[in-house]
Amino acid sequence: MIWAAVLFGTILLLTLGAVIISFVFLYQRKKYRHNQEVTQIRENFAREMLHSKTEIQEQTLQHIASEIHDNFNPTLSVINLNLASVLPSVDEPVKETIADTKSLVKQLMAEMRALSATLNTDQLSRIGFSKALEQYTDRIRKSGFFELIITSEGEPFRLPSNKEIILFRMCQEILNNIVKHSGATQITVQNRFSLGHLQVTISDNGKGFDTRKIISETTQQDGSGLRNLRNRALAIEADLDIQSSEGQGTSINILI
Amino acid sequence: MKWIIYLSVFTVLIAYLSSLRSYRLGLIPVFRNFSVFLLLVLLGEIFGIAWSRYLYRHTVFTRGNQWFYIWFHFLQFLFYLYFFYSVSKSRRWKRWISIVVLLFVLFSLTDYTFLHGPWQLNTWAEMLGSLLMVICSIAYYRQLLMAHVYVPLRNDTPFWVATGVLIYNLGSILGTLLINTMYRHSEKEAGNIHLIILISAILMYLTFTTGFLCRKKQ
Repeated sequence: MIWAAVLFGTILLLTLGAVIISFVFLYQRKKYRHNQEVTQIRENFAREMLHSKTEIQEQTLQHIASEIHDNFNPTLSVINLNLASVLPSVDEPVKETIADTKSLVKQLMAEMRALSATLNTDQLSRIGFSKALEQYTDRIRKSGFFELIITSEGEPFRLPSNKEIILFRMCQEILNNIVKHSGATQITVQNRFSLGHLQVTISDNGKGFDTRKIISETTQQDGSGLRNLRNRALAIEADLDIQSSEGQGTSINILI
Repeated sequence: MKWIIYLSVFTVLIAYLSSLRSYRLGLIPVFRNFSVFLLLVLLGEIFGIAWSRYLYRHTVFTRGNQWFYIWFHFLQFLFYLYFFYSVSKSRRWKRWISIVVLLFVLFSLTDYTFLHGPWQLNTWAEMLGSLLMVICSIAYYRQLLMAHVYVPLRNDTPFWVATGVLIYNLGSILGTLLINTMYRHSEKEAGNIHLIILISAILMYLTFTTGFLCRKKQ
């Protein structure tokens, strides 16, 4: 009889244990769902912020582009005209200097036009990503410091305008970094169009970097180039892959 | 009855084998020590059975194996306290466990020396041990529930260990309390109580096995 009482008591205690364990399970499941919701909200918020940031950035660039186009270029034209008007009335040695200055002003005007074109979002939307990238790489090639090869595979197609703009800005950032920091002599840009996907690969033969180190540094510092790239990739739902090692060059792959 | 005793030893073996994963997964030392502990439990259980079935009946030893289980259970309680100490993240809780270990040792020695003696189970010390195990398990659950980060329970070995310990101690606490008395009055009823304790132990070792098998690399 006593053992039956023990059995009953034990069953009661085990039931209590089962209730406790079930509570832990249920609570954790609730916590998991809550965490997921919070993460989702945070991600959405970050995406919204990123979109707003990109929009503001693009508006600013647009403003700068129109300022260059509307104010700088006319002023430079006036300078050029003035120089042309004084050119016949000056002595020979000064004439040569003025002629040089005129040619520099012309060069500057051309640079300004090109810069204005790359900053101009409307123009970018009009001509499309591929053409804009070609124009931008042309400018780098003309500097004469780099051997730049741009290739395209597959049947080109247009992406939604906002995606093209962000993708172009990413490529600009990558190319700027190569120009500024890589010490490279060769740059290769490949666009592959296939089945609704565009894969852009930009590689160089520069000094490369330790990706793990850079990634750990970028998690600590705000606003670094790599973080910008990642955020932009996230905004357009693209995969970003960076392959690099010291002394081995860098290859950055964007798949959208 | 015999088969369930062997089944319980078999579940210890299974738990021990699954705990070897902790080496492969490179888990923190407490899990590797757990593996050694399970091996010792296995050897201890085999020794306990050998004593009860052979030495006690067929040789000059005239006492049952209860003298052995006093020490065996005592060391097991100490190991589980060490386990909970290791997985605890709260300093206050660790300090509490340190104090409790001292009190438990003192109380067990008192029970051994003055209350039940060395030839029958020290049920008071066992009761205290079981109570501490239940408290430690619930404290670990509390730690999980209060954690800021979500811990997937399925892959959390300490959760399964705590669950096994909770099941065993809730399942055996009443039986342990009465088993000495039952052995004196009715061997059959004592056997039934022993059966309840064994089933609780089997559940515990199966839970440990689940904990080690579901564990992912750290």
